[in-house]
Amino acid sequence: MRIADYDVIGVSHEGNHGTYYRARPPERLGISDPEVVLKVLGRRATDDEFKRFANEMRLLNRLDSPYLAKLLDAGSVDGEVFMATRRYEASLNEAAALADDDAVRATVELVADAARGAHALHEMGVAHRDIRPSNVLIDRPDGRRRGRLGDLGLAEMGPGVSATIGTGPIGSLGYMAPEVVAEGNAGRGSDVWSLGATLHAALSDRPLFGEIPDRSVLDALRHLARTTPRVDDRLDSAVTDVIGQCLADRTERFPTANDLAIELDRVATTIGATT
Amino acid sequence: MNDQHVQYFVDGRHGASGIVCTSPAGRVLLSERPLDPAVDVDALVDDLGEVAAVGQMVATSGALALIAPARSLPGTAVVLAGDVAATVTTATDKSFVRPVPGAVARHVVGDGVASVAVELGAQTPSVVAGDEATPWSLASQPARRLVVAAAPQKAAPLPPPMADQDARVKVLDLGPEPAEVPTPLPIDTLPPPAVGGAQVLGIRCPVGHHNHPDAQYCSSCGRRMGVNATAVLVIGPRPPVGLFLTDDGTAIPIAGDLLLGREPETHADVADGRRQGVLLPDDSSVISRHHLAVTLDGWDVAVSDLGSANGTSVKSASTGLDYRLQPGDAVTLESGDLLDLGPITLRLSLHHVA
Repeated sequence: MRIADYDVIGVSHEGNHGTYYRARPPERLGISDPEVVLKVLGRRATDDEFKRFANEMRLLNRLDSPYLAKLLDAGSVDGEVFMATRRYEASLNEAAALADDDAVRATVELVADAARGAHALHEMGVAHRDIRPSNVLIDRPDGRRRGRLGDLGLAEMGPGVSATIGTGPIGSLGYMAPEVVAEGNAGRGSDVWSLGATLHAALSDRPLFGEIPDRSVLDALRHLARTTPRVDDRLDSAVTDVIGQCLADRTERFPTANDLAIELDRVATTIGATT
Repeated sequence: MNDQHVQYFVDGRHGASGIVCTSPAGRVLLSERPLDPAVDVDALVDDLGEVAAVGQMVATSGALALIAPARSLPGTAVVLAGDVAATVTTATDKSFVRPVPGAVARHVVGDGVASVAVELGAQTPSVVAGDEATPWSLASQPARRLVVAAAPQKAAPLPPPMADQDARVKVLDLGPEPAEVPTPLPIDTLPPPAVGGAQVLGIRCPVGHHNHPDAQYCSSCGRRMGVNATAVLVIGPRPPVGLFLTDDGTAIPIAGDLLLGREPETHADVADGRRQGVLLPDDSSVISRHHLAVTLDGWDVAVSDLGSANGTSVKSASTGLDYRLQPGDAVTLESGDLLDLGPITLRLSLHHVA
């Protein structure tokens, strides 16, 4: 199948922002990447949406943040907007770093990078809305390791507008801040919450909300509304403190994702230092 | 596979033959050989009797794919409706055709079609499968892909220039300065306003969450209401009262006044923050830009149609009555009531009832 001038190889994954495809890039991009990630809005954009989309794409391109998936191309086909980003081989896994200090430190650093990416979006006036481990991508420039936030679901909603929730996999609801689950309100604070939940999931095999029923979105939402998240107390206390502050009430959280990133940088240097 | 029906058809009047696959999801019609260019595709569909008209299929979210020589132009017509897509391969190019929801895509490809692959969408159960080597045979396992080899063509035409090929594709020039400097998101420094800002009479759960007077379990923490709680009514901030569930399994939380539509951000109440906008995507434009207002009054959820082009119907869960909302009239809903906005149906689920 073909979308615009991209050869689609298959579905990459489903996100809250729609379907992401693996695709071969057209020659006009002049890149050597064999595959890129292609996102299509899946419906015709209104004029307002298209203007906002064009503006955001140019901002992203100008910003060229090292902590966001690299934007390669954007446009529309038959009125549906699409965007292509670089494809990264690896992402954070759930329960990836259980007790190994080096793995914990690496995970904390990757989430710090993702927090810087989220901050860049927030400064652009956009909330990510779907931060979870599989969206924290791992880039390896010159042998180093760097986190980049992927699945940028831009341009879909103007200020004061939300969409239905639960369009992605049901498990992704467990990474949504309570105010998003209850009210549909996303912002800096809800992304900070999701970053904390993401860090927890990568470090622990105990889900914050226990088993989330996956029979229906309604069951899952009820379960989430009625369950208090429980942070795994076997984790390093410096880490649980940060996660606790991410999951706190809205005004008690880190005020910006950048504040979270700075604290995570500090925590990363302490891991394994005393033991 | 039980509900599916596959039959070979021969239509003498049009000299057509092929396979019709019928399932609750829709029908796929494949002509076995190129039809006479004079064949009226719509008439053929009509003549096949049990194959419903294209419009009806779209209405029932079925899928239809019809590949036949085009009537008016030289080439092959690909007619698609519903949740289906086709990849048309010619000697020189590939193109992808997908109808927008609610519309019929008619795409004519010039001469030289090598194959047409039809793919049913995720919403559509598999109907029939074959592959290039054995076109027309049914696979033993359901599969989503069906490849049809077209009749051999003579000389392939010259490849069209790139620009013509992709006239539908617009590539955005990312270089220019962004037109608008963005406004950063606000930082939560003050406690968020009580949800919806309203104070309502209710009861407190054992740990102090405010609830509907009839609630048996707390909507915030799931604790059972104490025996004494129901006796003490107090004023408190209104928590989210419930959800609208859509037919595709997603949800819209109801925590304050809402405005639902295709372009909620363009409504004055959303722009000035009096209502939260909720985007209901709908390419067929059956849903209006500003379709429905949801207004909370105490614990009650009232809806009013904003003079939408195609209207809103309510089906009451308690009485079974079905009625149309008169524009401007506010109607209070009960848990379980259905709202029919055309392509989207919403079911109200109130937290205190569950």
